[in-house]
Amino acid sequence: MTQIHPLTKSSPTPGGLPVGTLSPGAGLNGIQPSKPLHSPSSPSTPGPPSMLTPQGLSGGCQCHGTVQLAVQILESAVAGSQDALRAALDAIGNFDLTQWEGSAATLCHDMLQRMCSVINATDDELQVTLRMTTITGGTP
Amino acid sequence: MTQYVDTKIRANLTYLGDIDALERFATGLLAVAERVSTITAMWQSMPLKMQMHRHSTMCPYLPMGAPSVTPSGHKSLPFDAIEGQARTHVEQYAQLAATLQSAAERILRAYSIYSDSEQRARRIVNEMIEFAIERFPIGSSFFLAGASVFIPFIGLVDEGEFTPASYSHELWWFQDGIVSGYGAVLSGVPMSAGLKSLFKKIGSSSGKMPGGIDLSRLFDPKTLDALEWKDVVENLFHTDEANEAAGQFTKLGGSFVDRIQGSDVNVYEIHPRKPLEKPETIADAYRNIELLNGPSTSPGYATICIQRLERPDGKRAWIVTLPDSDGHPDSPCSVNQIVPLMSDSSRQRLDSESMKFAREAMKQAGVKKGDDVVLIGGSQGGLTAASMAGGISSEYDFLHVVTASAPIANHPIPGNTYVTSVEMETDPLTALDGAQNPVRESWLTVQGMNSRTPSPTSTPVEGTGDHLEQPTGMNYQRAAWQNATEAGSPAVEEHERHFQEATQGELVGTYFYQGRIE
Repeated sequence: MTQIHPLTKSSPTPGGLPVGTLSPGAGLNGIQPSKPLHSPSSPSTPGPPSMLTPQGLSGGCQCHGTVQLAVQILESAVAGSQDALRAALDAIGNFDLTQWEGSAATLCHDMLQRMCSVINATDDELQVTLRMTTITGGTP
Repeated sequence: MTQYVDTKIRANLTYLGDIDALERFATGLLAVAERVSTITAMWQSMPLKMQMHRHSTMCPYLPMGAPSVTPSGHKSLPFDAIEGQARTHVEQYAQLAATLQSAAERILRAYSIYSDSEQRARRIVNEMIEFAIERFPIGSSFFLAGASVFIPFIGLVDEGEFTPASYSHELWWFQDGIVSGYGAVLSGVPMSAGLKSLFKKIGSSSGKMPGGIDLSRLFDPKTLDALEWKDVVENLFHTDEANEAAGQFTKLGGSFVDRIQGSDVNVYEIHPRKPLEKPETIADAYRNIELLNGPSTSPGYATICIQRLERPDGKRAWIVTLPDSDGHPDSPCSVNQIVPLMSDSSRQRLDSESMKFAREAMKQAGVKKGDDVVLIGGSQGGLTAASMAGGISSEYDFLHVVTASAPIANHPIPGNTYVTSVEMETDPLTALDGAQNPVRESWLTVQGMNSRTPSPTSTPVEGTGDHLEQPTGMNYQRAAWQNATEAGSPAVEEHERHFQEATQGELVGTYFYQGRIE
């Protein structure tokens, strides 16, 4: 009976954005993430100082502040979601069900093994969400 | 609509490994599942939060009435895409939480982890009830009588119908204590003042009784009274008070019943048209109990089926399927036989008519000393099976006993005999022993609970409808066994394996014997 395979990422995240990643090989063996998650307190995208002014310049877009809050909410949500994925991997990976008799152990092992694929896919989607925190628009 | 059954599996699985570590793993999964559920809820509320931050009412770039438009100059995020991502995350995290929870609950159930702690709590509560009844029997009786008036109304609220079945459905958690308490009182101090008076009156006319029985001499003229403290404390460490009471009743009334009913059992072979098939699995064994006792399939009351197997090594083995209770006065399996079969005295159990019938039938079939025997029985048949396995283990090699709805908790079945028991928690018959079955490697108990509401793990019961009923039928027992099989428990799988090993061999003969008392 095979062990649950650790998470893998086949290629770096496109776009070169400083996105956080769960880990190329995190999960079963307690491997720590090679890159920390993106901090929710940092702005996701630097820009000209004028664009960062919460109130904007006179006549400029008034929405930057509210949009920036939305970015912070999203980054925090992604960070918390990645923490939950890590916790799930730790919980799954720190016990070997294959050593236990009974079809329940086999069934649960298979269920949890499939969940590792779901965790991988979820992590990928979180990266996609994180890339959406780039603020667009503003005064041309 | 139909009824459903869910089960708890009681078995000792400590031989498999570190059960505590397995429990910690499962509870860890549950904790993470709860955390993941919180994340699910967070992503569910994300679109609404994003809406609130989508625009400022002061923004000069936003056209009035169309805030979702993002013209040049207006700062924004891809809110529509973010909303789609939020929905995706909800699905993913919900699936993850559900799977983690399902895996954890499956492990806890299959490895009998939570059932042990619940059983301990149940034992404590029931010993307290037993204590109260033993010390305050009259007061307890009035309290229980008064409380019983409300039970059908509680059942009306819980189940939506007014039915006597509510009594066992609402009181199942406490019935061991009630049975043990009154069993202890009745066995410690045999008769109530009222009953004493009644039997004295009957006894005073002993000359008119068959055989000249003087009934007043058969009964101890003590009154129903509280037990002494030392007896109460001693009883807290026993579980066989109900069996002691059965022993007392057998001693007091056994000879009377024998004189009325007779005690000579005539056993003869019959040849029904449709014999039973060899049970290849424990589910087949339960099916055979149903066929042997069913109103339209039984070859007649008090009929035993004995199947002979021949093994490749030439050794003979036997499968004995025993009958349930009936209400016929000339039957060795009449309902009153439950009392001696429940007795705490091995001698009384062996002297019961049902035991004499079973032993004679086995002798006529050709079962020899030392042969391997598998016993199968439901209700009284289960009691007979347990009594045989515990009482004549020196005569035959009882490999496996399969019972359903049988109160056998205190029967001294040897540890090398596998016992597979199915009980429904709200079945009043299984409560007659006033105790939970032992938990050991070779004794597996599947405890079923019936409900009108399905759960993710429940099994439907054949032949049931909308109404709550007593789950005494074999359809409930079979559904409970199926439900336990689906749990993937190693205990269930081990007992299945052992049953198949014990019944291996070619079926070379199926014999039916009926018994009648003369």
